[in-house]
This record gives sequence, C-alpha cells and structure tokens, in this order.
Amino acid sequence: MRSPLEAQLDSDPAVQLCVFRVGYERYALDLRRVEEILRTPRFTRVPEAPSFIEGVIHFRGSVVPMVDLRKRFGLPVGPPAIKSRCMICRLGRERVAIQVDGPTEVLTVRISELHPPPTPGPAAGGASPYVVGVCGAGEELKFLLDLKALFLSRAADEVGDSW
Amino acid sequence: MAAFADILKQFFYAPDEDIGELFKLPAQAGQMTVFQPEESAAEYLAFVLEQESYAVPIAQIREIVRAVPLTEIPRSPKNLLGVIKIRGEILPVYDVKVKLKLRERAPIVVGLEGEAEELPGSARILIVRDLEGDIGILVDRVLEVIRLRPSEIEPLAPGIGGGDYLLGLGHLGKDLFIVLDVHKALS
Amino acid sequence: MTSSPKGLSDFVAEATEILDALNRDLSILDQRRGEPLDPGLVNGIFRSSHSLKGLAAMFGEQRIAQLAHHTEDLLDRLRLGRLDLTDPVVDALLESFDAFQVVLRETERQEHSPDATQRAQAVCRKLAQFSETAAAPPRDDALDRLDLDASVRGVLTEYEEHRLLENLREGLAIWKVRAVFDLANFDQGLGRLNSKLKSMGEILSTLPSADPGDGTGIAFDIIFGSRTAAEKLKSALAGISASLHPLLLSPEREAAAPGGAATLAVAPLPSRARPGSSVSPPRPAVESRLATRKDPPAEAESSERLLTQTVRVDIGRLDSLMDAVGELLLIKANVARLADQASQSGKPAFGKLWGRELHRESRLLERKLDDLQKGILEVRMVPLGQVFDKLARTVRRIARESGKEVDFVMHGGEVEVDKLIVEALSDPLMHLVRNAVDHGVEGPEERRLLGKKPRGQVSVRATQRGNQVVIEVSDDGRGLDEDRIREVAVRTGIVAAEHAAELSERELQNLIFLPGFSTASRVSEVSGRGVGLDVVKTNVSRLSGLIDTQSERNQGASFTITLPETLAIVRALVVSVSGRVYAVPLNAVSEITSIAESDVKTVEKREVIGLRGKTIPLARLARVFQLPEKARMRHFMLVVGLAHRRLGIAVDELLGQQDVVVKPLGGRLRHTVGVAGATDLGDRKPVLVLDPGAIIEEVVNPERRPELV
Repeated sequence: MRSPLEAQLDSDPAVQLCVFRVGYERYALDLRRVEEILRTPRFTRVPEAPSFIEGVIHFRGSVVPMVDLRKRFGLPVGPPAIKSRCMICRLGRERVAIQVDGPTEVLTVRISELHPPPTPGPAAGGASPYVVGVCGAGEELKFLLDLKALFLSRAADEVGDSW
Repeated sequence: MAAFADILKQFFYAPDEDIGELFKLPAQAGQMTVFQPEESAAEYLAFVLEQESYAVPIAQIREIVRAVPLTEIPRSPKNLLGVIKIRGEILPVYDVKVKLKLRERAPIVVGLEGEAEELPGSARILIVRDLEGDIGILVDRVLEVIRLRPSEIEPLAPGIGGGDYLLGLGHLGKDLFIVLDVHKALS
Repeated sequence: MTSSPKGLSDFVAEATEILDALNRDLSILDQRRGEPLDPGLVNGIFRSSHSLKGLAAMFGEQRIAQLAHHTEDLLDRLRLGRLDLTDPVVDALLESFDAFQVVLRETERQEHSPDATQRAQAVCRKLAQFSETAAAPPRDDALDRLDLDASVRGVLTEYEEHRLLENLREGLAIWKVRAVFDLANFDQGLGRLNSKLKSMGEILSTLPSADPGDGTGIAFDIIFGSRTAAEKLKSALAGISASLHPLLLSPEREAAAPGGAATLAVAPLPSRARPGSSVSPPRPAVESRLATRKDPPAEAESSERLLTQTVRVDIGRLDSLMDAVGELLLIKANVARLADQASQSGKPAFGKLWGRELHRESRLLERKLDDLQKGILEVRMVPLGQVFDKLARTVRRIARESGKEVDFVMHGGEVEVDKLIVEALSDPLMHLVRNAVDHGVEGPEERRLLGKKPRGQVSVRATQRGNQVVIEVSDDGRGLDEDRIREVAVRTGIVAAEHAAELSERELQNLIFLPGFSTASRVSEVSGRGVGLDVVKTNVSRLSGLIDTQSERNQGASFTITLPETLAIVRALVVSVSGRVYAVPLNAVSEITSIAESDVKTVEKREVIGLRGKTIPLARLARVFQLPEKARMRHFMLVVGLAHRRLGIAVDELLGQQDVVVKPLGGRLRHTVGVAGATDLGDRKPVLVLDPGAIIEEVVNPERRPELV
C-alpha cells in the first residue's frame, strides 16, 4: 500500500521551498509552513524554558516560542543585522518562530530534486539532527530542515562546535 | 527511496502532524522579563533617483565623484552607461533606474549631440566596492549621510516587488528612504 | 657561483634582507641572555636560516648554504627543546652571523678568498659541536589526553607538538579558534586575528578547516594556548567571525586532575557536527589538509591569480625615475615662465624667440617623458619565474590527486615581462599545465606498457625573441587525439563530415581552441570547470598574443604562446567612427587606405572590397559596434589580419598616431568583445583600444568555412 507521499514522489510534482541563510549556509523549509516573516520583534525571555529557546514573541494573539538558529547551529551571535528575519512557522497546529540571517526567497523544485543528506564520516561527529535532506549542489546547496527537531529538547545537546 | 520518503514526510507540512512533546509555555507573563534586542544605528549614504530618496550602507561606498564624461562601451548591456577614469583606473558606470523601475529604458549619456541625454548638474557617480572590481552608479543627487537603526527600517515582505535588492524602507523623522543593496541592484 | 650579474644582485638583495632580520633577532636574543627562551624569537631565527639556506642553494652559493644549514640545525634543536640556550650557544650564533656578513660582502664583489672560506668552515664546526645528540626527552602522553581530533594531531609538525606540550606543561589552557574569512581579504582578517591572539597567548598551529563552509569563504582552525580567562578571550574575539572552543585535557588516570590544563565538565562536548559539515566526507578533508599543509594556509586555489598587487623594485631604478621627475619639474617651471610671458598684456609676446623657446621645452619634455615611461616600464617588469613556481605547485598537486608521476621542468624563469602580462598569463598557463597533467600525461602503468619512462614530464619554457616572449608548455604524454577531435568537430557541426577528412594536421589540432570544444568525456574535477581552450586563446589574444599547438600521437603535445614583451605601451592609430574615438594598435594594421562607398560590393550578403586585385571582407566599425551610422561617400579603411584572414575595417576619420598606455578592462568589463582595453589620450575621457583579432574572428566567422587556419 503506497503512502500518498510515495505516490506523489512517483509522479514528481513541484513543491515550494522557503530558502534562507544562517551563517554561510542556506536552509529550506516547506513554504506551506511559513506563515509570516518579520524583522526581529521584541521578545520575552522565559527562564523556565529550555536554553535553546530564546524567548517568546506575541503574534496575532498567541505566544510563539522562538529559536535563534545561529545559536542552535553554534555560530557566533551578535545584535540583529539589517537582514535578519524572524519567520513565524506552522508546526502541526502550533506556531513557532525561528530567527535567521539573510533574506528569504521562494523556490519551486521537483520532489526528485530533494535528496537524502550525505552520510557524514566519523570526524563530522554524526548526522545533524536537524537536516533531513538536501537540494541543489555546490553554492546552491540548501539543507532541508526538520522544524520539529529544532524545537525538541532531545536534540539539543549544545551544538557548541563547528569542526 | 522509501526510507527517504518517510524522512521527507517530516519536512512537509501537514496540519495533523505529530509534534510530540513540545515544551509547555507558562500562560501568564509572571516572572518573564521583556527583552528588547539591542540595536545599533548604522550609517547610510542617502541619494536621489528620480525624486525618490534611497540609502546605501556607507561601507559600500568608496567615494563620490562628479559625473564626468563617460566613454561608452559598444554592445554592452543596457544598464552599463559607460566607463570613466579615476586616477588611472577604468571603472564601469551603471544605471540602476531601470532595475528599480523608475524608467523604462536606461539613459544614453554618451554620444553625439542629440543622441545623449543631458545630466543634471547635481548628478554624481557613486563608486561602490565590489569583489569583481569597483563600479560606479549614476545618481541624480547626493543628499547626506544618515543613521538608521534596524528598528527604523521597515522590512518589505517577500513577494512585494523589489526582489532582494530592496532591503527595506528607512524612516527618519518624516522622511522615507528606500534602503538598497547596490550589488543586487546591478544584476 | 651565481652566473649572471643580475642574478647576483637579486641574490644579494634577498640575502641582505634575511640577514637584517637575523641580525635584529640575534640582538634581542643577546640582550635577553639568562631569560627564559622566547619561542617566537627562536622560531623566527630558525626560519631566517632556513630561507637563507634555500636561497643560497638556489644560487649555488655553497659557503652560505653550508653555514645556513648548520645554523638551522642548531636552531631546530633549540626550538624543539633538545638544546638549552646557554651563553656559548648564543655566542656561536652571533659568530655565524658575522661569518655570513663577511662571505656575503665577498660574494657581492664576486671574490672568493680562502680567509673567508676558512672562517665560515670554522664556524660550521663550532655549530656542529652543539649538535652532539642530546637524549630526546621522554614523550609525554599529554597530547594523547588532549581532546584533539586525530586528523589534526596527524598534521602537526614536531615543533608544533613540542610547543603544545610545553603549553600544557606550563598549565595553559588550549583552545581552538575557528575563524571564517572572505576569500578576497582573508590575509588581513587572519592577520588581525593573529595579532589579537598573540597578545593573549601563543598560536600553536593554524590549519585550514576541514569544514570549509561557504564556497566564497575560507575557514581556519587555530590551536591556541593561553592563560587568559575564557570571558576575556571571548570578548576580544567579538566582532570577528570566529568562535572559540576549549580543548579539554582528560585527567591522568593515576591522580586527580591538577589545576591548570584540565578544564572539566562545564564546557560542552565538541562532538556534534554543524548541519553544514555533513556534506563532505572526512577523508578528502584530511588529505586536503595534508596537501595544503606543505604550502602556507594562504593557498586559496580557487583563483590562480597572483594575490599581490605589488612589485619588488630595485632602488637604482627608482632613483633614476626620481631623476627624470626632477628634470620634468624643471621643464615645467620653464613652461610656466613662458606662459606667464604670453599672458602679459601689452607685450608682443609671441615673437620668434618665444616660439623657439617653447619649442625647445616641448622637445625636452617629450624626451624626459619618454625616459620616465621607459623607467616605469622597467619597474613593472617581473620575472616569469613567479608564475612558474605556482605552476610547479599545481602540477605536484594534480599529479598527486590523479595518481600520476610527473616531473615539472622550468626554463627561462628569469625572462621578464610586464607585471600585467604575468598576471594575465597566470590563468591560461595554469589551465594548460592542468590539461597536460590531466589529459596529456598517462598514468605510470600505461606509460610502462608504452615503453615510456614511468615518470611523465611537463615543461614550461620561456625565451625572449626580440621584443617578443615565447612561452611553451609541453608534455610527453599521449598527444592530441586527432580522431576524437575529428569526431567531436563533426558531431558538434563545426566541420562538415566530408571536409573532416581533408583537414590538415595543424588545422585539426587548432580546432581545440574553438568555444565549447572539449574532448574529455567528462569534466574531471582536476581539470577544472570544463573551461575550454577557447578561454585560454581569448585570454592570450587579449594580451595581443598568439597561441599555437603541436602534437605527436603518443609522444606529447606542446602549446606555444607568443606575446609582446610589454602590453603597456602601444603605438596606435587614432580613428573616429560615428563621433566616437578609438585607438587601433598599429602593429595589427598592415595597410591604411581610403575607399569610396561605391567600391563596396556584396558577396553572399557580406560586404567585400577589392584590394589590389584581391577581394577581402569589409567590416564597418560603426555596424560592428552597433553605433548610429551617418551616410558617407568615403571612408578610411584599415586592413588588419594576415593572408586569407584579412579584414578591412571602415572608419570615418583618421585622427593621427600616438603612443598609448593600454589598460585592460577588468572585472565586469572583461567580457567586452572587440575591445582590448582603454587608454588616455589627454582629455580625461578614456578612449577604447580595439582588439583587431577579435573583430576578425567575429566578422570572418570561421565556423562556417570548411577551411581553417
């Protein structure tokens, strides 16, 4: 019994990605997840929340947790740059927010252009828990992110290094 | 392929997807402290194109020169107005008005009488730093250096014209400046 | 002994520079007797000796080479902690410096006295005494306990390991600083970072990072030892795109961890990969580190351009330039005086005498400017050896990567050429050399089967022929595969099948310069981005040069580039077309004549004109450049090109002849077709200089014709 996704995969339809930068790399999310993109708004720190949660922002009446992807990926953090964006995303029925560098763009690709992430070697320390696939190559390489993983504390062994 | 298809499922959005144990947030503000991300103002050079005010981060500007006569390059892209010589260096000078949709066609500023447009006396060429070699941008008038904080720059939602060369709208008092990424405006 | 006087002065200049540095360091060492060893200082002296040794060996200066060798030996022991810096050692070093001085001064005078030789030898013996082997200190396993990636540990030199151990022994904390810089100016960024770090501790090793991040950036991992607190280090690094990670030292199994080097538990484990790093598997990362370890980390191969915009200049040349300028100032004063006279009202200023004076100043001016020009040109001349050295490194790297054994032979590195040309040649030569290793030279097995020596040879040879320079890149590999060339040519429609068989060997071989022509079945990573030889040819023609190829099946292939010695000054014909002024290099023009509109005929929709009984194609420059045309009865025609690739270029006016300085159009303008560069004709607007070769190519359109040059 084939899943709808497998059936979809066979017919290779097009999907839309929202692509953005964090540090030097480009990442992508399913465009349908992206509800809104803002400049970094004021946010409220929440002491009891896990450390990878920067805080919460108020958006359309709901309280939305925010993760700073630069921090999450172990990059040096500074004041928000002119190009920083805060993306309000859908996760199931909830909303979450991620802070990214660089402006966003929309890309249409075919499912067949999405590939599993390459297996890293031992020196790389194991697969990234956040990346489920890649698209494109070379300078156009985009990492497909697992939004849920970014917000789960299980995956949150501090990514303090960037060997 | 099937295994990847499973993983890929997580990537795509479904309203009923399982999001597991996301932390629970306290409903009340209580002991929460509001945090305003610190921001510092950056300097921009403001200039005018067709009566509209624009701003470019000052670090990108190497110098400003008068609009000296240009030498045209045959069969060059329309937005390349010509070249000038600055202290022995040959630099290309570009028009950005077409890309910014201020004009239909790039002006012709070189040529014989009658062929070329006359430039306003206030016209200047901004020399911009670029990895491929510095370039010049022709502008109608240079205003001044302004300071803008990120919070004073209103972002433009993607999809609103401007692609990624418009970085936002800067508000300074009652004035509005269109903040520009010069390099993107040349492609 | 060094052969040419020029080579000698180069050697002396460089050797003197090194000796100056050596002198400074030795003085400091002398002053600091009794104080603890400064590793930076010792290392500096070591490096100076090492450079001097290499330099002397290259120039055949045996005495200096030997002396340097012994000094280097001694210093190596010092820096590895195998020898203590006692007074006798310092004295010996000072003596060796004196000996260097004596021998060098002699060499400069081209003398070779037995006294100096003996002195040098005595010092060598003294230095050798200290090299009696001391027992190597027991290897501490502290390095094993340090949380250092095995691949990094593998590439550390003995010296670096020694310093790392010393740091650990002294109780310093070890950090890894990961920094990413822009490719365009990483040396500045790295320099700044280094100064900051040096003020807070010791830089133990700088390694190119296994995780390169973005394609346009270059990342380094710096192993760094310091006593400074983490917070201070972090704040010092703020503003630089660098991240700081502690390297933990696990406690020894027997005792509880002493203070100092062991910073435990609190810091996060440096184990997870960044999402980005999962792309590149580690093995090539280690290899590339090993490969690049020999070269300084500054080796960014993504552009083969020489990174420096500077030229080393002989002071003598600068002095004569200053003289010329001085004389120009005098002339200027005279001209100003004459101008003053002319502007005084009431006087009949423009008398004959005045006129003659002005004329004389003008002639003097011309002569002096000429001198100045020549002087500056000489300053810009740079030996081709600069590029050849880079080629040698590329050959070694590519040979290693593709498993071939290749010897690289260079000749004529001393031939000097304008710096602009040397820079512009870098890419084409790199490309040719890559091709030679990648496609030309066969692997060792194949060569054995063919009865060739297992080691292939790629050679670069430069010779001066009058005011031209000829550079030949050749290999003893497979040679060009003519059958494949034919096949590809027919397949891509460049040549009709029936004509393919008739093509001469030379015509066939020169097909490879056409755009899009690549006989490689796949673009190997090694050969680059599939950039064809047409780019090489284009680059060479931009330099007003020619490229030719010759090949023998299974024997090898050679590419010959012929260039003018200098690009900078060109005698040009100044013409105007549709009101625009252009300069045409005279060496490309074989004739200038006047033609009438009525003389122009059409053959197969192309314009042609009769020239002394032959019919040649005609190109109206206004049309080629898409400029507005005004109807004219007559034109001037410049005939360019040779034999059956001649072309007449029609222009409106001839404005004169002039020596011009051509500046190539770089950066975004480099793809302009038909224009070789721009120049200054006096008014401030730059004037474009034509590229007649490109115009011929464009107009005469070789693809359509079955016959080729």
